[in-house]
Amino acid sequence: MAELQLGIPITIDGEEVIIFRDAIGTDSLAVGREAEVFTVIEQVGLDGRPAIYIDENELSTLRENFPGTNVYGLWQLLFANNLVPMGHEVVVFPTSDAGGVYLQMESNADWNNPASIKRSFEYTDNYSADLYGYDLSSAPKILVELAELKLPSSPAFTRVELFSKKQHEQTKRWYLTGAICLVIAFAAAAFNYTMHSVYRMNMAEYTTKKQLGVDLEARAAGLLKERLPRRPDNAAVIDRIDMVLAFDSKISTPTVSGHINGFTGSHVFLTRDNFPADLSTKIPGVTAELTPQMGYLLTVSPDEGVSH
Amino acid sequence: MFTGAMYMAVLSVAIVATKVTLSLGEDRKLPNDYGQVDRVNSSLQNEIDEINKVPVLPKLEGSWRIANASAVMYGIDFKPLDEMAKGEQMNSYSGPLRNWTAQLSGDPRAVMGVAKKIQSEVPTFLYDYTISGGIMKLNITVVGT
Repeated sequence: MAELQLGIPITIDGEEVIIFRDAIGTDSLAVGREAEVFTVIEQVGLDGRPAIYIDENELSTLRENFPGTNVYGLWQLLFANNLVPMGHEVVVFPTSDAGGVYLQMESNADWNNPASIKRSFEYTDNYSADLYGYDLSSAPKILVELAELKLPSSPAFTRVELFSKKQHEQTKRWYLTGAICLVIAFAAAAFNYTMHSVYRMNMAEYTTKKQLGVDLEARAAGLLKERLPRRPDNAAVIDRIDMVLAFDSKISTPTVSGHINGFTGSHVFLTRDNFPADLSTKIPGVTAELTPQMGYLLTVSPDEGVSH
Repeated sequence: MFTGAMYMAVLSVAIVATKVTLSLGEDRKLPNDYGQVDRVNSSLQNEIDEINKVPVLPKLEGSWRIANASAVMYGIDFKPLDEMAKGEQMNSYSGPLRNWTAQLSGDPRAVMGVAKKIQSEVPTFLYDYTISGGIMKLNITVVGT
């Protein structure tokens, strides 16, 4: 079994990487030296596992010594490969005969829940000052098979690297934003161009049809200069008026100003005074109105369709 | 992360694009009678077909002669009205056909009879009339080509 060695390049998953000490849980940060700056390499897991940190100074040193080699945290790697057994207060990963790192759970919590992880720390000679009376040699040990390990999704980055990476990603997002804006602008332009083309086509068709309408109207007008679709025929009204005239030879049309008798208007007649009969009862289509002079004001219907 | 500025940029471009599209859309409005043009044209065409079936009217001179003769035959005065006299009338012919106007005057019943006869023989429009003192005056317009 190949040993998982920390701090030197090893090959995992076909890639040359460095696995380095990391720390899990915020408790681990509290015990660090003041000069230590920790950077998150793995955020809090979906199952509640606390965030995993790496010492930035050490990461920088590794960068100087092994430029271009990706660095992963030990616990990060173990969690990514699902190699940390749950359900124990302490789990150890030995790096030498009697030394190594261990993972400690909250003492009165559910040890099966990754959210209960208190912290990780190192031990030597199977002893750690933070584990009173706990026999580290009897704690479950994590064993790894180097060939079967898979790399976590993202390696560790220093803050400067993270910042520039973030900058880089921001720039990329701005490019993407610009591209989206361009797509919108092009889509709007294409849509408007298409709609304008359709509009121009419709308008050309409309203009042609309108012109055709004008031509047709001119043709109709031309035809109507020589033809009369309906011959005027006032025979029915003439007959009706003739019947009225037959009754009174002294009949006249009203001379009131503004009143005009005509075939395009009304037919109103005034009988002589003291006229003996109401003609409205004798002639269909005639209405009569008695005047103070005992004559009648007769109105003959202009309706050609009145039945006789 | 996409920042607010990025969302704002996309949003403003989208708003501007929409506004431009809407204002251009206003210019692309089709005329109100766009949908009716075909119907109007086909009804015009039908109208023309109908008018075409109608025979061409006889010459105005011939018709006028007939009208005049009818009036004379029944002893009715047939007085042609010139343009000025026609202008004084309230209602008169305003169509596209060639036309002459006359005033018939005489016994009311005879005038009515002549008017009916003329109208049955030649295309004639009847207009205003008066009856006073046993005399009827009726304006008629004979039309032709």
